[in-house]
Amino acid sequence: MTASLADRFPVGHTETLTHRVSEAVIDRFEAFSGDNNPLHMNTEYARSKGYSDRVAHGVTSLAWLSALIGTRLPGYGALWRSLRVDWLQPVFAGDEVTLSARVEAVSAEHRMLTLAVSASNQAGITLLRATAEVSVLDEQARVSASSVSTRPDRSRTAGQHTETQETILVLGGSGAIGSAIAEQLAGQGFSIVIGYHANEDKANQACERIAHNKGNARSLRVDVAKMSVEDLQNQLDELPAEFQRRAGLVVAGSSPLLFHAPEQISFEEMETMWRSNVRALWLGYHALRERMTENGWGRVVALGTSALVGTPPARNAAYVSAKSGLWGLVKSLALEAANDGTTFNMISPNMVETDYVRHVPKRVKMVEASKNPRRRLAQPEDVASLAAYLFSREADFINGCNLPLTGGGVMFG
Amino acid sequence: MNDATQKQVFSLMESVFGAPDGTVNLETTHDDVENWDSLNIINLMMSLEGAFGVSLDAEEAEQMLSTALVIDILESKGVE
Repeated sequence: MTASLADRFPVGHTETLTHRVSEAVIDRFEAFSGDNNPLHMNTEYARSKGYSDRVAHGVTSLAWLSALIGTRLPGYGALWRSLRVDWLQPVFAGDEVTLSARVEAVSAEHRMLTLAVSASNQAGITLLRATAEVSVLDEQARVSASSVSTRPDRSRTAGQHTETQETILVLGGSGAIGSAIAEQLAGQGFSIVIGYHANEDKANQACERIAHNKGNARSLRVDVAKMSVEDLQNQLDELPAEFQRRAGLVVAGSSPLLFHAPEQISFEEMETMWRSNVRALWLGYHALRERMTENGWGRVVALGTSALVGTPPARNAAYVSAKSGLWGLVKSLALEAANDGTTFNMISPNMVETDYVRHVPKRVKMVEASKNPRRRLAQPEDVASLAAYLFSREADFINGCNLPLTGGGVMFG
Repeated sequence: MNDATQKQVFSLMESVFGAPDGTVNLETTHDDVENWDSLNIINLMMSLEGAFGVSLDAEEAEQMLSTALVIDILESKGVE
């Protein structure tokens, strides 16, 4: 991270932030500032003065400017030095205010940015214009700030392909669920490495779809059953710079279902299933652990099954026991490895409508869908939506959870 | 399953469930018919067995949750 200030924040670089000014926001501002002027607090009074509703305190918008500067432009390391502001139009309860800050000038000598700021409402009316000067503390300050388990850089770089973009390795990424998760996360601004075993075509097709939607993805052959941690790390290291901020892992693959009765199951079958699940998490975790610790932020999501809590389906002993092992490893990591800012969780859907269950008789799927309270099977996109949430900042405290995704078909607890 | 047999199945179901003529079709599920309950499923099983000369078991009765499933079950018994 030795890029110059002008490289990191070129003139013209713009960040925006939108907030809704609810009545509660106005009330809370009054509560802590003590400014109970009836223009802000009393609708009738405000109307008697010719306004349509309570007028928000003008400084409210500047509180959000503080968030914009402190978390996005320039983000952690920001030290706000000066502000000149002209309020042009009132802000009312219910308005949606979009703040925009654009880099006007960069002083390398003073490590200072000059920002041109404006705010507008949902009708596009400009509410204020301002000029702010912000110094940027050195890299060391930024690194120490990043040791809290929030995400210092992603919000600043979301949607751009930069060397600081966070990268997620999706093992089993060529399958229907893995690729749905990959595409959803790419849409949120993550760089994606799609790890595939046999199906290179499908992996590349997923990469193409991501590229088509202006996302960033590469495919990588990963034999989770045999590959060493060093080999995986070396292959990841050889990817371009925008894939080097590795911060997340999805374990979505599993070897094929064979539907053997217990007496037919060989130990090799058990082992193959175990390697495709438990070893995949072990391998991915070890390959990414160092980078996730450096980042101070990481996310690991493994795909489980609702069979772990409900009655398991018949002729699936190898699958169910491997998923049980996977869940055991997720729990142990959640206990022992989460304090460096990484969380570990499992998503457990019931039957998902994919090629993986193509050998399950049609009638079994129809019955499952008909009996489900939501009257359908799970879709890969359902899993992707929950995974996307687990990869969000808001999911920071969710750790060691096995999250059911069953439409109510299997209920927990 | 051919159209004539399908129509016969729809008509049997309407009769067993006491649903108006023409209301049961390929899309109909147990959510759509008020009297689609366990007692009437037994009645439906007996009607279907009589009409098509097939034998249905308890597991199949449990699976009769939609017209599509009823037809799938009959087709698996060779009803064309």
